[in-house]
Amino acid sequence: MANKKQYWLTLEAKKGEVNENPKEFGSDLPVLNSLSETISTQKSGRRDFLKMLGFGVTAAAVAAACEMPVRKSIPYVIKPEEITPGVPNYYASAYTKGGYYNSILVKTREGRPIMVEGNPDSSVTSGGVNPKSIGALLSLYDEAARIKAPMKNGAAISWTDLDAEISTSLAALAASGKTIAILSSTILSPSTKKVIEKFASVYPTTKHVQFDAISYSGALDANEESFGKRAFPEYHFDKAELIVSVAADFLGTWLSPTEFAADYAQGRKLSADKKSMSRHIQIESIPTLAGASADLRIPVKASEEDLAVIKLYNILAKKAGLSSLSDNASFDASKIEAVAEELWAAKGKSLVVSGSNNKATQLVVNAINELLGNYGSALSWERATYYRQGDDKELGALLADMNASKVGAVLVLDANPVYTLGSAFETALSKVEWSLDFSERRTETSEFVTYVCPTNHFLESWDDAQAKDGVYATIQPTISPLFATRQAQESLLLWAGDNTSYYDFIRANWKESLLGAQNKFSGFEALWTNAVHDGELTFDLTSSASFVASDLNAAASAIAKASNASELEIKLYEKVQIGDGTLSDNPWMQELSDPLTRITWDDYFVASPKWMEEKGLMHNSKNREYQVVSLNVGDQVYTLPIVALAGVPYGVLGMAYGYGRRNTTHEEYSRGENAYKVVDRASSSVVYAASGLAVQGGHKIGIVQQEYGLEHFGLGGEKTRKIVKETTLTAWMEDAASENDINFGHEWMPRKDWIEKYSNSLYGDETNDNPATKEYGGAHAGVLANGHHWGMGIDLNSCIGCGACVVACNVENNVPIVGRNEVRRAHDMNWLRIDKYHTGDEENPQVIFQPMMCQHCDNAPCENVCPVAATNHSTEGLNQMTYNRCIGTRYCANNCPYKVRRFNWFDYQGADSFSSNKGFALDNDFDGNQTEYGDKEAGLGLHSPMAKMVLNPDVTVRSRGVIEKCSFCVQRIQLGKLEAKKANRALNEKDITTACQSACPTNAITFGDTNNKETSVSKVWADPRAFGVIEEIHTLPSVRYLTKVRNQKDGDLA
Amino acid sequence: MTFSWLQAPKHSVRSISSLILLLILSTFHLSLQAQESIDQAKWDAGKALFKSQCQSCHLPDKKMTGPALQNATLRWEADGEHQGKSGKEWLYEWVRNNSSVLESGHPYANNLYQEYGKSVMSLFPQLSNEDIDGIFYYANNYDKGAKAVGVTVPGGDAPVSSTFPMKTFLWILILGLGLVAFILYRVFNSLKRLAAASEGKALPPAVPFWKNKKLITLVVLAAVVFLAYTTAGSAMALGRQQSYAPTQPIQYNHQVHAGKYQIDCQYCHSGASESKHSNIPSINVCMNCHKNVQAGQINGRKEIAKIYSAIAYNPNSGTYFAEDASDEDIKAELTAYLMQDYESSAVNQEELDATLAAAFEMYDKPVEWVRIHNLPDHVYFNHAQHVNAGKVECQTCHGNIQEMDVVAQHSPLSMGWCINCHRQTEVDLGNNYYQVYEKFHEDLKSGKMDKVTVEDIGGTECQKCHY
Repeated sequence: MANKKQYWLTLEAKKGEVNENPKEFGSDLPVLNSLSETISTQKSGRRDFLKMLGFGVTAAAVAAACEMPVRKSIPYVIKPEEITPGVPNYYASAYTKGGYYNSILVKTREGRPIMVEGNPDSSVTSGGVNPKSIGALLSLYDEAARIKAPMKNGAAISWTDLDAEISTSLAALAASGKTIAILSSTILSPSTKKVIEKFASVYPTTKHVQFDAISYSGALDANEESFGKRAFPEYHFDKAELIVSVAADFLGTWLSPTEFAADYAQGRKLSADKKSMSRHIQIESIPTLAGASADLRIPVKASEEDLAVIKLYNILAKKAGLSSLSDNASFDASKIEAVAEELWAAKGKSLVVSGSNNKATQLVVNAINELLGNYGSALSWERATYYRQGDDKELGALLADMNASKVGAVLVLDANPVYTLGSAFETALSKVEWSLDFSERRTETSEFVTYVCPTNHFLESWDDAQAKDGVYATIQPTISPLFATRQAQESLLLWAGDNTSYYDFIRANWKESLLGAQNKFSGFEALWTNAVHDGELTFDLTSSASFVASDLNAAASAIAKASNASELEIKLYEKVQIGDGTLSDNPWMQELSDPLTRITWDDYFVASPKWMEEKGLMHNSKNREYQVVSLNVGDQVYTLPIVALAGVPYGVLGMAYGYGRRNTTHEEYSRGENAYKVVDRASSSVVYAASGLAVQGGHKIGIVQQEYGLEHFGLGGEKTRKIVKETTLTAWMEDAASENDINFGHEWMPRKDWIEKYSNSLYGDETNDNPATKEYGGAHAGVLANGHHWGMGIDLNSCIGCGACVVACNVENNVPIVGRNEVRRAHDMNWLRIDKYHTGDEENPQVIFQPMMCQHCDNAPCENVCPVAATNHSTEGLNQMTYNRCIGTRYCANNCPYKVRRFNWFDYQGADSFSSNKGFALDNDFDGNQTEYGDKEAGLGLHSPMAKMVLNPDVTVRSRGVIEKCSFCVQRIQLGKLEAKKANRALNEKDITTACQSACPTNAITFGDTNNKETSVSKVWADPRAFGVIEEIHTLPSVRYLTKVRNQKDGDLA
Repeated sequence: MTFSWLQAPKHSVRSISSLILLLILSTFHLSLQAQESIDQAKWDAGKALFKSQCQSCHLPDKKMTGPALQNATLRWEADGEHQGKSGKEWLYEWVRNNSSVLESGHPYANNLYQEYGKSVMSLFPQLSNEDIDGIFYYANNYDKGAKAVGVTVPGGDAPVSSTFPMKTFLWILILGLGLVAFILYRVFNSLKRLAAASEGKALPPAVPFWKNKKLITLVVLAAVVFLAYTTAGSAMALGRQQSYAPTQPIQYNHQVHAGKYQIDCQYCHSGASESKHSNIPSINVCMNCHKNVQAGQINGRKEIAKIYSAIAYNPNSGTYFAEDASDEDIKAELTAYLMQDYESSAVNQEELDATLAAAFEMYDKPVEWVRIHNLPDHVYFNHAQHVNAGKVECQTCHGNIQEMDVVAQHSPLSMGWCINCHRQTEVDLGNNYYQVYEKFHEDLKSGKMDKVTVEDIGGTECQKCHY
């Protein structure tokens, strides 16, 4: 079993260079500088010791003499029936910002939302969560950024005065025939649209224009032309045997990633009963999550992405006997040919998607799917989906009208056009009589407009949503409005002379339009109650759309014209965590590292390592200082650090949307450049030529995992030990334990043999024949076999690296946000991280994700080095961390081979009574300034009293100076056990789900009692693909991973 | 018992030992009480049902919202047959569905209905005849079985009935032995001197014992040990609030409610069986009874007025104050209500004004109770686990609340105290959840273990309470 694959985390590691600088505990404990000086420079004698001792004892005595604070316990006057203090309530709701639909359950405690989980009853997102839906929770409590009352020209105004002024003005504008424009992002709510209709009936000059920050207008236009519907079909990634995606990141950002990820994983799970999986080919320039999961990733230049679609069409058309299109001869497409061959072979069982917003490209994609007969199986028009509805043509017309002074007022709803549409919009807006923003928080637009009528956060609102035909969701408030805000819809109704509350309006609308359209419920109350309870109603319906062929030759030439090929191309892309920038002032999102670059908090260009080497732009591997470069793109000069990312094609730069926010409360979170400034909505392309490359200096970036990647500290690294394991479908079919081998005593052997030969006899009790404990014959096997033994199973085949679990873990466990400087110092606090490894060619590597958290080793190296026994083992197999006992030696973290123990260097949560513990001037911030850790960076997070409302009251807020780590959500374990005891029944698997498990859209994570052989986690553990990370060092981890299986063909790696 | 001999340690060894014997005997002395023979099982079952179903409106011996239930069976039986059904049968029906009995025109029932101000009794269709028998059996004999099932309150190693703690005994022993040692030392010295004198040797000068270096060293050492011990002990006790009994905004009296009227703890602290918190009841729970009970037995209307004020209730009209009610109106109504406490000739104006002010201050606001039992933030405690799953009596930790006029923290709430209980308390393996501990079930069967304690199932591990 020689010739093991080499996995690498950093480019230096691939070259065999040892990364010297990054150390997890690179700096000493930051004790008060003056004190440390005294200690280090002066000789302290016995007298000093006695003085200190005397002072200490006196100080303690004085402190102890203080009275204990009097604590109040204040019950309700009239307790709501559904609330029992201490017991959480869950409310079904939906996250719909910008068209990202996610059906969710909001967990509230004593009337405040503290957690967002997926709604398992949803027919769309089936229990998964998008990181953004959880992140939005913190925005609710963002006291600093929320707008607390209406404003006119920056000054406060009362709702009554504002209503009077606006109603008068609207009437005057309507009378004078001037347009009243409502400019919004995609609105999924049918009732909101009804409200706008109603508003328009009172003010007939009203015009409603929807636009998406990242446009899908071209794709919608194409679908309208091909199918007569300005919508998207339903994509069934589970039903496709072959998925070909051309630059569509359907697992991370494209349309409805949470829904697609669930379907996709469904098609790729393997077990003894299901021996087939889909094959996924990704053709793209900038590496995406979808590209990372693909079996075959074909890198092309950004300008070639759309051309690849024509190439595909031409080869398929040839086979189908259709005429081919004119095509760019200079484009080498030998690999595309192979893809076309496969597609032809999988006719009717395949799916081709493209992330392009070029109408012409999407027309060709529609033609390809039609030609392959994919409509009706993996693609269906049975239920049209409405995730994006923006129309750039209408937007263009509106801007023209505004510039021609035909528009009297612009009302902005749920959008930030000053940021996303740039200066063209600002100019046009200045020609409008007045403007109004319904924003709930300070944005570029709210700072620019005449009136701000703050709306409620969606967690404070009643609303509805229609994601698909026949799928209706309700959004219900989970907390009373925190500020003097009023829901936008209510404002519009009021100005239209309608005094009904929006809640009544929604109900009336549902009664009118939905009651008759279904036959499940006979009465409206039953329908409504069910909808609110379940969060989502799905009606049976059948509809279809027939394909109308378009002039593809015209399309082909349009594509060729728009391709913008140049020597240095820059492609704008969307990041999983930041998205279109709506949540870029949210610290949870900023601290969630990018799945591929593992960088937090920073905006940067990504580029090909080869190109970087040639241009001398590679970062300094010793101190990890990155070069900052400036580039001319269109009329903009962008200055950003540049980061090498394996897989980016030569001559292409990637730049993310969502950064460079200005005039927001938390400007410092969203540094970087605003990529929207160069977007030309008329051209439908996001590829631009860049020139004038110049180095501007160095910059240190907050990047995680490198400091404690297992390959550096993980006892030998990739050459001797497999941290991740992967195999191919063919090999797996022959041997279900393929590649699941272990290097022991310089000899590779199947894991099964290793257990047989060494694990039991070397470490354990040879006479042990108890099957429950035989595999790991540890010293305490007998104790662990009685009662519960908690374990986790993670299917590497299903993990797509989206990060939903990481955010869920942070929220559930009160994990602090540390800010950029702290991440740069390797002080990030995530209990759960998703490690990323590259393997193969530097220019086109394969990616493998591995969620890594405390492995709860039954023979844990951390436990026996703790001098105060603050970490020890429970009889249920949990590696317990007792914060109140920890004295902060960090021995445990040093001895942990998995590097999952995190140390609280500061009082990140602001929970300490001594404010100076928030931080000291320690270090420069790598930009040359002396900074203090504290309010500016982390204070964002949880320092404000209102933000503390998001904390989980069942989990301790850790103080400065203690180690913390994953607890397997012990609070949920204890609660689950208690529920079973209360009901006098055995524990049910569903009683306990960890936060990461419940958030995972692909069900990659299973958790439960491994002593019970019927649980799903036991089944994962018994799978021949199961392995523990570096288990050969006899840590006896309680997390087992399933070997990743790729559906590779022989020619793929050629 | 007085220990006068402590001040006079001249008693001979003999008298001390006889005292010890007496004390040991007294430790074993239990006050046995004569019991009437009652069916304890039926009584217990009836009590449980009475507490959960009836107690919010009925007492066994006194009229409350509804009539006293003691001898209700006799009254119904005495009422005799109507429409072919005996009084007892009517009583069963009355309990299960009183509205149908009223409709049938049953005269006794209708009289009752009139007598209690037409307040409607809840329906209890779930109760069987046996259940109802049990309830009335308890009601009729409520005062007979009660003392037999008293609650043991752990306050240390010795049973509560002991009047002579072990510690005192040890101290006496130490003092006694010290005395013996001292006497022997003097005797030894005297003998040595005598021997020396008889041998004609020169005697060393006699050193008084307060100048004896050995003794001084010993005393200093003992003092250091004692100080260190007490310092460590006090340091560990920092932040503990045993016996904390703050003044509450409303002088709620547990002795009256839980003791005298035997209202079940969980009637008010309803969260205890479901939640981590036991919940201080909201005012609407108080109003369940105090809508009718308008005057208390100890403080009259003084404290109840605060309840009405907090929930904005006008006790004179039986309605809630309007939102825009003026301060004067509210004060006038409250005064009228409070005036009922006084004979018309003897109004204590000063006291009345103070009471009114105190009540009015709480108008339409949640009551700010002072929390007595506080745990540090890093401790997770769950009432449901103890009350519901563990079937622990409230009194085990909170003491005899039913005897407290003002609630005080009974237990130290220290970690040692928690752990101690977890070490000693046996787990009820009858709960189906515990089937998961197969080995314990086997060991119990084979006799390897005689009981499974909370510690055995991991109840003393860190992460059971700290996470």
